[in-house]
Amino acid sequence: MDPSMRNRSDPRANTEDPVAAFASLYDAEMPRVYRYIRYQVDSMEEAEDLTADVFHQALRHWPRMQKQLRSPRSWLLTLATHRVADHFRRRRNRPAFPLEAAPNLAGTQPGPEEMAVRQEEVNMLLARLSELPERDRTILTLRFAGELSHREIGQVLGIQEGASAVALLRALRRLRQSYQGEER
Amino acid sequence: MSNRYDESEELRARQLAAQLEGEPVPESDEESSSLTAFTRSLPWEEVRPQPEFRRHLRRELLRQLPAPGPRRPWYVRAALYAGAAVGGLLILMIGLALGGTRIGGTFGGLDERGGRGGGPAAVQPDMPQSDDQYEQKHVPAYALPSGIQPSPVPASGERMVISTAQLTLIVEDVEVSLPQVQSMVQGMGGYIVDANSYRTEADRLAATITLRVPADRFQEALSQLRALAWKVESESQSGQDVTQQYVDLQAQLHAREATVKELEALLAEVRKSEGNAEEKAQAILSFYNQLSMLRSEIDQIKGQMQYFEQMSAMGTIVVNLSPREPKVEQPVVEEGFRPSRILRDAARSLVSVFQALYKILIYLVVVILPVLAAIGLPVGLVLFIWWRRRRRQRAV
Repeated sequence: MDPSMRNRSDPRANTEDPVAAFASLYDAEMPRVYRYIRYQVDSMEEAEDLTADVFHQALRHWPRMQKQLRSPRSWLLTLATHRVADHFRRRRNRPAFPLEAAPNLAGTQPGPEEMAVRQEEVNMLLARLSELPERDRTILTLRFAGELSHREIGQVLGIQEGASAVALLRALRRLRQSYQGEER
Repeated sequence: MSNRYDESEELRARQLAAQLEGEPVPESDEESSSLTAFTRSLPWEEVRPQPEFRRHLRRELLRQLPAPGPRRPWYVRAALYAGAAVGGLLILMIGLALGGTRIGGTFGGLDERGGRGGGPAAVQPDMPQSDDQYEQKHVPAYALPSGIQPSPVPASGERMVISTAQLTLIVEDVEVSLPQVQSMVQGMGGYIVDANSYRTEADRLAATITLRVPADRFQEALSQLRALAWKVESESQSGQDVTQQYVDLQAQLHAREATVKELEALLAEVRKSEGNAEEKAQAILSFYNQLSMLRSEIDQIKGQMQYFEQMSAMGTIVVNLSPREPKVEQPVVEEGFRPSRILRDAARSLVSVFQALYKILIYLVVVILPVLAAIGLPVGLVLFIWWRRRRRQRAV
């Protein structure tokens, strides 16, 4: 059996060919990175732009990073976290309109990618997330959209594993409160 | 999906958090399980990138990575590089060779044919080789240079052109060809102005003849000379139109002759007139001075006109006759092929190449490196600082 075929699923094993390795990394992680970004920003277009930015940046560092990466996923999500933070910082510096004025903005622009079965629920989650503090939103999306372990979240955010768990617990509580407030 | 919300990991993490920070774990298992259920109810995985965007970005990214392709074994790569190098050299050499023939004269390509001192050598239009046809087209056997400006035609109505030609011929035997040339020239009513003969390195006779033939038989003489050759090595023709000068001279002549006539008439009058003898003598003397000056000018002009007439009446041909080197008769070994000499030349160029390399190296060390260092150090320092700052910013 061709060894390159056997290792196709694991991006790190296929160190011989950086192109194939990057391609398989992209195929495996791109939906996750997109989802992670999408749940933090307001529109599909922003999410696509930021996702493209993340992978372009990853590509630039790929030859150097390829061999030393232990978790490509948390690396990509670290890049994504920085990109999203940049994005909000830039938008805050020249606000087109204040976020507070449009609390349900995230849910107002459903794109074709949201033609999901649970469309209503997605819009609801987007809206609730946009009301949460940025920190909560980050940790929730890292955990559930990005599917990182607490150890990896700790690496991404530069905090302890336990602190990550605590932060996630609090964020979850706040998210549930938000949902329950909606129901009432 | 690999690690979608691992409950046991979540629980472990919360316990760890409790130990570390005294943070209350969920008060009850009830809350824990309800949170888990809540989390499960959220549509985290429902959001997907559009397939179109996903494909597009993938293509864009992969295009930026250099495709390494299957790695060939070293000997295949070596062979490919060698082939490329040889091909490049070949192209270079062909280019040089082509450039060389262009520079080396248009008539160099006429090869062994029409030899044996016999029939018309240079013009055989049905020769198959295209190279030869190219050469033939450029043998100026018919026309004089066409760039001559039209200028006033002298009274005789003919243009006055001084034609000259240069021919370098390789003949079987100069000692045979020389008398042939002489008899040809005499037969045409021309003459030989100048003839030099000498011995070549191979102790064979060679000669340079300058001859003049009547202008109307100039082309005929050229073609006959070519017919003598085993090979025409080079040929050039030129014509100098002196009609303008000749007409000018004619005008000057007429003017002076008219003046002379008038002066002579005046002189006769003065002689006849009666008056002071002394004054008369003075006047006559000055007339004589004038007249003699004019006459000598007239003689000069006539001489020049005569020169032009003679020169244009006869065309001048300079013929170089070289013997055919006997070696050429063995076509296997080319003329002047000496391996020892080639070897020496090659060694010499090898040495000069190395000398040039050493020179470059010395210049590099003595001149260029310090200059580069002087320029490069500050620039490099600035770049380095900038790079580090950028890196730090990115890390933040």
